[in-house]
Amino acid sequence: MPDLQRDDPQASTDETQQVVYAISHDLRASARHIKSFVQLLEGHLGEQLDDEARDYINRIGTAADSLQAKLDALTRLSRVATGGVEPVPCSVREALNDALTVLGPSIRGARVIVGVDPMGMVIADPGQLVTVFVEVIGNALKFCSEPTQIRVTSEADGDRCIVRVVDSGPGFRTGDCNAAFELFRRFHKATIPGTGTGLAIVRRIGDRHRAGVTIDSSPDGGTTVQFTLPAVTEHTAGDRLARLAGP
Amino acid sequence: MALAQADISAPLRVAMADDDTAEHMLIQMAADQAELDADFSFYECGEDLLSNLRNIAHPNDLPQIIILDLRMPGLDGYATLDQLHGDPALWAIPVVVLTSSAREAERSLSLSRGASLFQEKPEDFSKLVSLARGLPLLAICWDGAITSNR
Repeated sequence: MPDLQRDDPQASTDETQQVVYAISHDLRASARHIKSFVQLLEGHLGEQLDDEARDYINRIGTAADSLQAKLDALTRLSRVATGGVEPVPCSVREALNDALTVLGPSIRGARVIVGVDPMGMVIADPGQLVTVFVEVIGNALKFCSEPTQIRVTSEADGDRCIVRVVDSGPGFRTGDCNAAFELFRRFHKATIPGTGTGLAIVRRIGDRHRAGVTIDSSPDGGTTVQFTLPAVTEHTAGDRLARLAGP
Repeated sequence: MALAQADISAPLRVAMADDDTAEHMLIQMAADQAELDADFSFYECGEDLLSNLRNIAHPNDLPQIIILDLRMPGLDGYATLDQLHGDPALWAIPVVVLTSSAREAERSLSLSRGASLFQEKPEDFSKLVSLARGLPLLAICWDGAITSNR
């Protein structure tokens, strides 16, 4: 008797997403309780707390905050599969503009050079394409202490479109750049905020689109994130019209 | 039908159904910090809440507000909302759904099944204090709306 669940990769993925959502949902309540009762304990003991006890309480609060942030990240990651829409023709330039609007004030001081074909269309989930730009450009902004330059380009390659985001930031030192896509993986000191989730979400979205997301970085500086999406060409547009017209 | 009357001089009667007793304690502490004069009755599931409310003989002893969790063993929040809504003695009590889920589907499902307010359990305790502070206003507004529609 075949195991239907195991034979259907989509059903298995959906089930995994539900488990991840349920776990993060339930654990979030525990994290919230830790944080709330520590706040109450601090208020209850007040002046009785010496510096050492106060330090312990702060550390418990920080750990609970970190746990909450990671659970939020897990929820976001689980929603890549469950919250997405079917890929449709959409404009790379519009997605990039939307991402720059979302990033808003954090962009101030950085120079973003856009070399994206204003007419270029790809087949993608429009919301998730915006998310990819927000996470990748947001990362570049976060890790650059000096005014940085970020170049976003698109390049036609037959019926595919190659998108690159190249920054002039410090880069990171690792033997395996792909480790940057691992969940909760961080290459920088804890003073820089974040959970190490953004690129994991980018990879998950990339996998969903079969976009072959890659990252390349050197400790001398500069990081390049690249992904490839099906382009809307006259040929593919014709195919779509033919499909819409039916047999 | 007779309804519980809002009396701002008496303690606010609040019933809460949540299977996690830490939540009972937190809302009680939040009400204390908000200096809310309230009498809480706590239940760990929808069945206990309903059977206790149905045993209350006088409408003026019914809770003025019900705080309801969605995910509970046995009768969950939605089923409890259905029961409350279908009960001529209980339908008019405002229900605040207080849940750790912020999913839009759960919000619209709760509101469509008779909840007056859908609120995600705040991650910051001070926001729970603010919520507790707003409970009397909700009771009074709801009571006024029900009375004017009769």
